[in-house]
Amino acid sequence: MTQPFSCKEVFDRLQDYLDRELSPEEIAAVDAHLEDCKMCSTEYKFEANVLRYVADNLAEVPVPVDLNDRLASLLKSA
Amino acid sequence: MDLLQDAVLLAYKAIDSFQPDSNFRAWFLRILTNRFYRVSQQNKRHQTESLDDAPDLYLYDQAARLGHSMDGDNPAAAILEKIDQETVRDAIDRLSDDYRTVAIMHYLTAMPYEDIAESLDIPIGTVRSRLHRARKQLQVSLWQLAVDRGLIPEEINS
Repeated sequence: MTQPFSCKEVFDRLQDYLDRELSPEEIAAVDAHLEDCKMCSTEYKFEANVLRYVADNLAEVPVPVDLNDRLASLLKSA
Repeated sequence: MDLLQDAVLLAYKAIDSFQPDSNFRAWFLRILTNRFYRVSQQNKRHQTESLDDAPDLYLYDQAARLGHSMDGDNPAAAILEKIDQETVRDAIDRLSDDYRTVAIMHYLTAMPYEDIAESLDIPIGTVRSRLHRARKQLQVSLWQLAVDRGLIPEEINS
């Protein structure tokens, strides 16, 4: 059974958790902590809300020079 | 735009508030002085709040300081509803190309760190740190722009 992380352990991993870049075991440990800790859960939800709001607007800003080319070549090689 | 031009523009926009029988020079100097203090405060804030000094959960901390309600599934709603889309786009525009590139690759195309690292030919740790710093930079810029534009009060109203 997964041992829940402490508040500090969750805080240290919050950015990677938001980016879905943790291992399945770490995700389970963060999930278990967020189930029980209202403060950490609120921090996580707040960050996720802000991230989603910003991401919705990313499509509207100019793409940096040469990123279009990189993405096009990635699509071709996929 | 320099301070004088800025003050002339503000005076032009506020000309209806000028009383014809009062002293135009004093009225304009008051606008210029107010603008000077405002710009000084903004510059001071930009200097003192470097990215490294800013807390990781920058907007959360500011919202908590202002006493915003943070209940429910969208605890950021009270602050985000005050920040219009133009301000969000301006904050994104303030990101350097390096930060904006990884942000677009990760959040728009859902590419994992590893694929971004391979595509840009940089270490995966660099992708991680650029994304984390981009996120913090965005939060600091969002807050500063929203305060400067009067969308959010800088301090708690007493």
